Amino acid sequence: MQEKLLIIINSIKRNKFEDPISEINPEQKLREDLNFDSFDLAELTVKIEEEFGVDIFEDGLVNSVNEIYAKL
Amino acid sequence: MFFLIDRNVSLSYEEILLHVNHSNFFTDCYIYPDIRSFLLNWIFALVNEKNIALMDSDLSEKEITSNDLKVNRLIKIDHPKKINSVEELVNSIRNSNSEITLFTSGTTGFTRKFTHPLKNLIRKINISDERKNDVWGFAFNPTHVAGVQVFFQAILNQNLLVNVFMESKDFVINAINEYKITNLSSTPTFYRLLLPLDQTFNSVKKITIGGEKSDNYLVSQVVKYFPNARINNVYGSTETGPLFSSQNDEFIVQDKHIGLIKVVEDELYIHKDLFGKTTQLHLIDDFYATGDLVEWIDNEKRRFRFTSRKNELINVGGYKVNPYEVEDELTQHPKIRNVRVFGKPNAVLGNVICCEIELLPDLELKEEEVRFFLNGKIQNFKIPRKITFVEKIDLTRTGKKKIV
Repeated sequence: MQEKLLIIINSIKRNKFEDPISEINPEQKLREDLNFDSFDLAELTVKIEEEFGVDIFEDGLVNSVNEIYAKL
Repeated sequence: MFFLIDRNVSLSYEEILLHVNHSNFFTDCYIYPDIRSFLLNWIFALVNEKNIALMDSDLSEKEITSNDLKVNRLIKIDHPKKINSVEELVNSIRNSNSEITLFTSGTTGFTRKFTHPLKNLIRKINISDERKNDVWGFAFNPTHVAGVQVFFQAILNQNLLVNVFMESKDFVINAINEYKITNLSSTPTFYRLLLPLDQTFNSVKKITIGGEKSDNYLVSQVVKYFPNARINNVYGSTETGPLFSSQNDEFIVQDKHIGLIKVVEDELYIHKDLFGKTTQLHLIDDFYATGDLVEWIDNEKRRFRFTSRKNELINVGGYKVNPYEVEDELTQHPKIRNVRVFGKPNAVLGNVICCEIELLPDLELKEEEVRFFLNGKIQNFKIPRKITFVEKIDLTRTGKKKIV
């Protein structure tokens, strides 16, 4: 799961011409640490839903990698 | 003299005369097995001044019952008109008092019927000796308003129709060459699917584009492969019949139309005097709100351009995105054959812009390359966040892209 999430995060980073990250850790904040804006977060939800069949933002905002894990 | 070529089936003007002179029955609501039977039934009804509904052969049971249609019942005509010549046939069609019922194409999956007097539907048809030798690539559904235009244009000028509707690219190319097609009339989607070509077609002298929003890039590509063709953009609808035409994507308000066209909150309103008798439309102070969004190009408000459909703008985090604008950019990518842009509900933004891409054969493209291509061309919020590559973009019955 961790690996798949890393691939998704890096695909979003590549799409906005940012360098990929080598690893994710639970403490990372989506906005502050990964530099995701609301459009990137939307892309993240679409891609996670595609991969895992779960809409992580369905019942409230998710702020960190840890919170994504919790939803999955 | 042939009127129709449809793959291995044909129909000559002489056979039409035979049918008209030896039939007693027609069907006013006909689920037709093939285009030849469809046209014969229709022509017979027109000659005998009977009202007829032009039905798609694949209407669902639900669409039939919800529109209260009585399909495939045989109606006897006691003393059908006898016709002696093709000229007489053409004149009796032209002067027929039939009313014709059309159904909206249902790009949104909802079919409604509209009835027009024949005169209303043929008011834009040109009949002249110059057009006698025209050969039409029939690239519209014959049951819909644009196909109806081509049908009348062809039969009233005694032309040949070659059916290429929903056929493959190779089939269309062969048909143009084999029958020396002079006139093509179809949707932007049809031309997009036909391009790029590896030859030019000198026989084609007129190309009509209509039924969906067109764009100048597409026109510039079409001109390249059809060097002798005059390009004509047309605007009309099942609800109003044919309305305007132009040489590019700009439409001009003619003097006689001043006061009959207005724009309210970017939406085009058409006065009822412009589309003749109709009882089914909801009018606001005698104007019909078309649902088509336009922008004025000049300060005098005489030239306008279509931008979108009213209910098709996608709200993304408070921004309004016109899917056609994004499609126009994407179709300029050299590897892309056809695209569809649409919104998908999303918890973060309300909607997220998605696109499906059909590539040209044997080519590959990555998501990030698409994003790179769009970067700087359109604003960030308009860029699709979900990009899928598909074998084929689904088309509706009229050959338009389906709206998701």
